Amino acid sequence: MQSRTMPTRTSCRATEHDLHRRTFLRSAVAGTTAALTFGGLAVGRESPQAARLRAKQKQVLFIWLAGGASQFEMWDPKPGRPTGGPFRAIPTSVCGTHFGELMPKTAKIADRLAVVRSLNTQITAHAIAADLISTGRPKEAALEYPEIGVVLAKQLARRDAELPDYVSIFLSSEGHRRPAVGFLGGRHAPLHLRDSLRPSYIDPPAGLDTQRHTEREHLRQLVSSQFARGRAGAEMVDGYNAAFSRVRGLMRSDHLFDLDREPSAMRERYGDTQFGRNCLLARRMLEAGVPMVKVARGFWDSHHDNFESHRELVTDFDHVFTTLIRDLEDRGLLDSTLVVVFSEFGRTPKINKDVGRDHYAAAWSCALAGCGIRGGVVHGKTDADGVSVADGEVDAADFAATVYSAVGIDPEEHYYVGPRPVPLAREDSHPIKTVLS
Amino acid sequence: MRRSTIAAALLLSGVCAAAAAESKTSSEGPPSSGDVQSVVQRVDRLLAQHWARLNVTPAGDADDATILRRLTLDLAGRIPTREEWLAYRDEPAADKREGLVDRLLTGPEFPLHLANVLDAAVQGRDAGDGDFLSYLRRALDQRRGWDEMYRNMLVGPWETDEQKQADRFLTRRVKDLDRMSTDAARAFFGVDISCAKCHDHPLVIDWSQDHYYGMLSFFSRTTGGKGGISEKKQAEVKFLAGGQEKTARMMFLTGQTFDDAAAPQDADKEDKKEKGEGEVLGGRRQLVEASLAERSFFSRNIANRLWHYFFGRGLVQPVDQMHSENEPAIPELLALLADDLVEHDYDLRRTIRILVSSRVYRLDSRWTGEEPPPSAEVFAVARLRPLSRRQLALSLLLASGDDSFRQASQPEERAKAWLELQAQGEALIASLDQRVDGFESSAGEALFLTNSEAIQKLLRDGDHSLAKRLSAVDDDGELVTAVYQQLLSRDPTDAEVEQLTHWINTQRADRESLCADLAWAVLTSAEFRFLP
Repeated sequence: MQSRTMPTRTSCRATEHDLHRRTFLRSAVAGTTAALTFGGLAVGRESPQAARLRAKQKQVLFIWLAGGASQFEMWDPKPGRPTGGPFRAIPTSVCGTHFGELMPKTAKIADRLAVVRSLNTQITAHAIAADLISTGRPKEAALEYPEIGVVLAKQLARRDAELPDYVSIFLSSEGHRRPAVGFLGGRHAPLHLRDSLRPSYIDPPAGLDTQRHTEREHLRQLVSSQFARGRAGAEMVDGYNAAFSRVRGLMRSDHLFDLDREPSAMRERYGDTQFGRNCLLARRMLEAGVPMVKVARGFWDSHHDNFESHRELVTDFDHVFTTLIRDLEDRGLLDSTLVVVFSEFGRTPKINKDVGRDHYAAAWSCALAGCGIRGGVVHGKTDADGVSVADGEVDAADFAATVYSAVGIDPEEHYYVGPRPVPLAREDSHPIKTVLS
Repeated sequence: MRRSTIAAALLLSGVCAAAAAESKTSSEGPPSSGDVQSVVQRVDRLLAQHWARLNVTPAGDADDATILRRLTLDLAGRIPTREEWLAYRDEPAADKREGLVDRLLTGPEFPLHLANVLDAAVQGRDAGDGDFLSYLRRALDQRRGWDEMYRNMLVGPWETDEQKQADRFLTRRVKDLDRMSTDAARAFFGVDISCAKCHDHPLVIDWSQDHYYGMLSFFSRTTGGKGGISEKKQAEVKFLAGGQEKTARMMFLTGQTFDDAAAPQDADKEDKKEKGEGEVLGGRRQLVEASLAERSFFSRNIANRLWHYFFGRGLVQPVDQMHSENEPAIPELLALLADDLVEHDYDLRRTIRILVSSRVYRLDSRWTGEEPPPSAEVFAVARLRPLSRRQLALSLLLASGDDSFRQASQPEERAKAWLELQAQGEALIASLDQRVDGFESSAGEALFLTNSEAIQKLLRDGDHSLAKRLSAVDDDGELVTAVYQQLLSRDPTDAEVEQLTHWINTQRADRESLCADLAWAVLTSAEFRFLP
């Protein structure tokens, strides 16, 4: 493990390669080319400390519409066109911007949102497309990339926090994904809530009172530390013991996972739906200081009856999403919390014989709000029928660069995987300046 | 006097035959001829020179308990039983370590465990395919060489259902030929050419786009699915180099190129051959023949991967970065091991016997010098290694006392019991951390070990639970000894007995609960999680 600082550039010129080769040689001489693992972070243009300070206190919430939500029924309506479907477009609080009619409440907070209507990510297979947008780059055989959320959690983590750096809520069974830690390693694995809003194994085993629970953990630490003394590789034992220390913190925080602690008026505001409960829990996590939270809402894969399913899904989304944004705002959290609504892709302009829309990645939308985001803007546009991007085309790498930039993380920062420098966002990516404040 | 006798008698009730049976399992007699010994001596000499050159005095030899635990986990994939510890401890023979190595290498558990190790090395994130594991176990049991297994994986024969189990490396990657060829280069040659896909490798002067597409060309005609693998007649690989389109030729890592000589003249005939006899011609066979003729990449890779497994770090590290700018820590040593493999039909058992018989394998993991321990590539002290998920699951189940395993004294029974334990362990491994380079523990594993019912059940389930059996030991000192022997396969030190006895005396819980807590603390301690 080593931390190095070196200048970075976006291009892949020969000099760059020379530089990296020299770095590699230097580390080989020093005998530190050791492991295929995260080996420190170097930052261009400013010191790592400065970057960390600047990014402090910022938080991120991903709202993942699993299966692929329809841009036509949400952010980029095409009323009256053959591809438009039966729903109208409605005006929003931003003059000249229209959303689908299923989002009346979201329309009222359009001035807080930035919408990107010009994503072209090409891939239309669920898993590959989800990997692409979640990591900001195509899958590579020899290197497993961490998801953007995992990188954010690591970057935005607070020292000595009792709570996990990343809480992922994915209670729908369809399109299920556990955030991939890739080369960042097990310490950065998120707390993943799959079966219940209460984390697994957070309650002590039956019949074990708090005192015994504590006593046996003390003994465990004692036996472990004695074993580690003077051993080569003892730092792994330190990490192992540290993981057990975090168990205590999580168990002490169990009340945060209990929605009954919210006033009933607040629970009613979010509504009695799974998505409502998930988002209320997400807000509790953000309020308690968890730097990275992801809420998944399934299942948007509407090959059949696209309009009926979207009438239900978008209506639920519209209510819960606006409640969440307003709640964050009321608590003074929105300024420091980046909220991103996205999917693996959008849906086809063509309406198929089952009145459905299929997978479509050539022209689709996402929305952002909060920290680092300029509200009330739309970036890019599609053509009249929403078939292709007419202006401001962006891809998955640009999306990643935008997310990093919004919370003040330089997308050109490098991780080192062994000798290999890996920028947070792909070398040729550009943050979408229009949506950044 | 040994502290253990009474406690041992209590825990041994019902399984007293096992220890005796295990001390005389060896059937073939040690084949460690003078030949193996002479290679071991050369390994020892090369390391001694390496240490002398770096002016480092290596750690001393590890004690009996450490050697037993290390060898049993490395070669049988599980911790030693208490009976095995007592037998090994009390064995007077001067060459008892050699006897142990021989018992483990010829025992029924070795092929089962080595199959897991090779599966992880070859399949990476696709490891765990039951069919592929069956193939590996059978091939190792039949003492097939690594070259033959490599041939089985890439070109067959795949005529019978059993033979077809070997094709899983390909079938798992047939939808993504880029990944197939990159993974093959990593798994079999220790080379990562993926960075050379879009441009000549930015870091490694050895790898150009020609290498990437040359490797891909060996695989480009591969097609098929779960039903089986076949070759298309033609599949040209084109790529852009400096703005110009080039057509790739099959090219090995050495730069040697191959014409498409194997492409059959008569297409119908080829179809028949493929479907009728399962014969596969063409690219992959070219690669297999070329790499086995060239020998260096293929033999150095497996020698380095075995070294990596036994020492937690490759002689070349990372193991898929073998190239001219990443020299082995001890070049003559890697050459020696690789050449020895070639000369002895790629017999992995032989190399493993050499490695675990060497002095460097015996080194203690405690470093007593004033200075911090020397860095990993010096190999002057054993570094702690995390157990793999399967090793850990198997060991947790075994430690909490599965009698059927210990009672299985015949090889077939033992293999069956091992596989049953492994199957039982599947329920645990999803919650455990994978062994990777740069291992870091997750809070998820710690939560699972601390609070899950599954772990609690290991301690307290049923009338013969570990906690119940331990609670039958009245004397506190004997209780501590029993816990250490059963879970850590060693005797506690006097200081440990004193410390834990004191802890026991400060507890107010009933005896059985107290025993459960004591066992839990040791079972989840770092000494159980890491290989000393």
